[in-house]
Amino acid sequence: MEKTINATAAVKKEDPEVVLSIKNLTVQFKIEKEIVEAVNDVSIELKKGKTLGLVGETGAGKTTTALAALNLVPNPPGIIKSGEIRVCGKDVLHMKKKELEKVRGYDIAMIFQDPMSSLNPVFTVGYQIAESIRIHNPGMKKEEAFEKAKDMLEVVGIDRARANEYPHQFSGGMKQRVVIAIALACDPQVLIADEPTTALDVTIQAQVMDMMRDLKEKYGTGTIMITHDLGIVAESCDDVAVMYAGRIVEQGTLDEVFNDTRHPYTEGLFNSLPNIKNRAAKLHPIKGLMPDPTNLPKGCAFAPRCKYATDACRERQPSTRHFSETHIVRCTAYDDPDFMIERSRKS
Amino acid sequence: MLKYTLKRILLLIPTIIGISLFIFLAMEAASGDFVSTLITEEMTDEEVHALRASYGLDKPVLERYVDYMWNLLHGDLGTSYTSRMPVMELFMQKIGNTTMLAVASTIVCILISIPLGIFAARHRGSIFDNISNVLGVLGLSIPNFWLGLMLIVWFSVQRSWLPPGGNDDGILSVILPAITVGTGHTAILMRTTRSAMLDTLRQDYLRTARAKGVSERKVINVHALRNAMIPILSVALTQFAGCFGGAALTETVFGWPGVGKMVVDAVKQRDIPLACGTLIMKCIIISLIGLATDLLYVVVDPRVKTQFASAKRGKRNG
Repeated sequence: MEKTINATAAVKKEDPEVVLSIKNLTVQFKIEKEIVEAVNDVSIELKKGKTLGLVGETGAGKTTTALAALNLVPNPPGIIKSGEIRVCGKDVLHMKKKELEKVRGYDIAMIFQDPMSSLNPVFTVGYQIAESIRIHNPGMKKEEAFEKAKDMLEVVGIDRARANEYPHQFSGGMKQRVVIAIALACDPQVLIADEPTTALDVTIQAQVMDMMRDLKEKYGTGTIMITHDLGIVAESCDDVAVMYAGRIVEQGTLDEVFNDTRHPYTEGLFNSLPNIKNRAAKLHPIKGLMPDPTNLPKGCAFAPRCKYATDACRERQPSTRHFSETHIVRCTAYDDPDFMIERSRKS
Repeated sequence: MLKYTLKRILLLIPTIIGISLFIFLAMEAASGDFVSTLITEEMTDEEVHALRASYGLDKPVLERYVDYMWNLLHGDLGTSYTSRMPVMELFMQKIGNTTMLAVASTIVCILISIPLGIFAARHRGSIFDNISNVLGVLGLSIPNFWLGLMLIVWFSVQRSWLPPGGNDDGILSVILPAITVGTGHTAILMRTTRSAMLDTLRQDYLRTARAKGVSERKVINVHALRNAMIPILSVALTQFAGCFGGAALTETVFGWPGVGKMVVDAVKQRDIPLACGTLIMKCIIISLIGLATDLLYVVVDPRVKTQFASAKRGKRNG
């Protein structure tokens, strides 16, 4: 077994390659008298031209983390309790409205989950793309922006002549391309793709993924890929962060997380996948449900579902443990130096 | 689109037949006819009979109706019994005033209710929202004639800022009647705007707009309002059309020489040609406003146009 590096995170100087840094982000939703702890102490760093996969079940806090990066968490009921978010070095949580409008869509853009409802039904797709271009190029003429919007349509593989059509005249896959065109209209440094293919059927999924990869190579955009599909992560990401109940439980490079899995939850995710070599094998889903986010357990949130859980796990929050410079795991079980999950024993 | 418009206009024909028949039969069922308002004690039976015959009122109702419709087919709305003037001419004298009141009250209504409705929706559950709810209920439940009288007392009698009635002072004289008619409408339109906006404010595409860097003001006033516009437009225009039919009470209170008052007077005096002719004209106006509303939907919401197109295509295939 490798040595556990208990590195105390040295205070690093601001790295110009880092386009998005989220530090100790905590987001809560106040619904009536209950407090939903949606995101707890999440830290992420994204470098230029890299893709970070944000993986987890529905309700793990992935989308909320992403929205926070644009300071778009709906308030009320959402409150960003603490943390620091820098987009290209700019602090988006303490900005005037006007400055924030300049960052949104220009430095950081987002592709939303559901293309069916993400486009305004009463404006042409050309207008909706051009709007973003005009906001961030104030001197530009309407016609010029519209021409650029048509160029963007071509980039995402839609005939430029369709710029004057309305969203309802497009299919789901086409709408998703339009949503992507809007996000990419101003060459953002950071692109957040929130399950960009979930609403699409499989053939279109592959097309959209291919297109996004091409665009990433072309523009050098740093991307956060939010997904629950480990296949997409394996195919498109450089780094991976696994979220559970609002916390990042394991994070590292693609190789580290996939081939040197440490956290029991990540292991559970892999076990839930069908095995292509043994098609008769049963699936092993993770038993139980994600805990109620208004009432998270005192200790590790995954402990109630974890087959390795000990009393210590249930008693206190797991501490952060570095297995390498990049590979970080939050699991109390590793306090025992001989602890290994089954997946590590096999390999 | 053109086909649809023509179809809607053709639909006016059965509507007009129905309305006029109803008026004729209803007036027949009511006690007394126009001549009974003229009879004096000294008149003999023969004289009364002759008088009745001179208006053609001795003929059975259906015969009179057929005659009336025959004339209508030739563009003749008939002659008023009371003033002995062509109904069309009388109508044209009054319709300008009614239109003015309708336009003014609709403007008052829109200027107040849409901004308030948007504000209430954006600050749902706030004190302002609750106050506007209460004011809305109040606006709905205050009777028009009472509000009209109170406005006259406050602004004409006690302060003499505005004329108490008539239409001799141009724009000044339309203010009080417009507020009176507009108040009830404002309450309804504000509620409509609020609920339409509440519905729209939840939509994902507003988040897309914000993520693009669209300012909050434009998110609300361009992206959201445009989508909430269909219910708002349909209620506002229905109210506008309603002003042509239902402002009789306010017109009476303010002595406003409009069509509503004329119909009420005509019915009181059993002046069938005037009542019937005026109602037919109102019916045409209201139908045309309804048609204009439908055509406006196409401008506001592009999806409606596709529905027209696909309906057409469906027919061709079927």
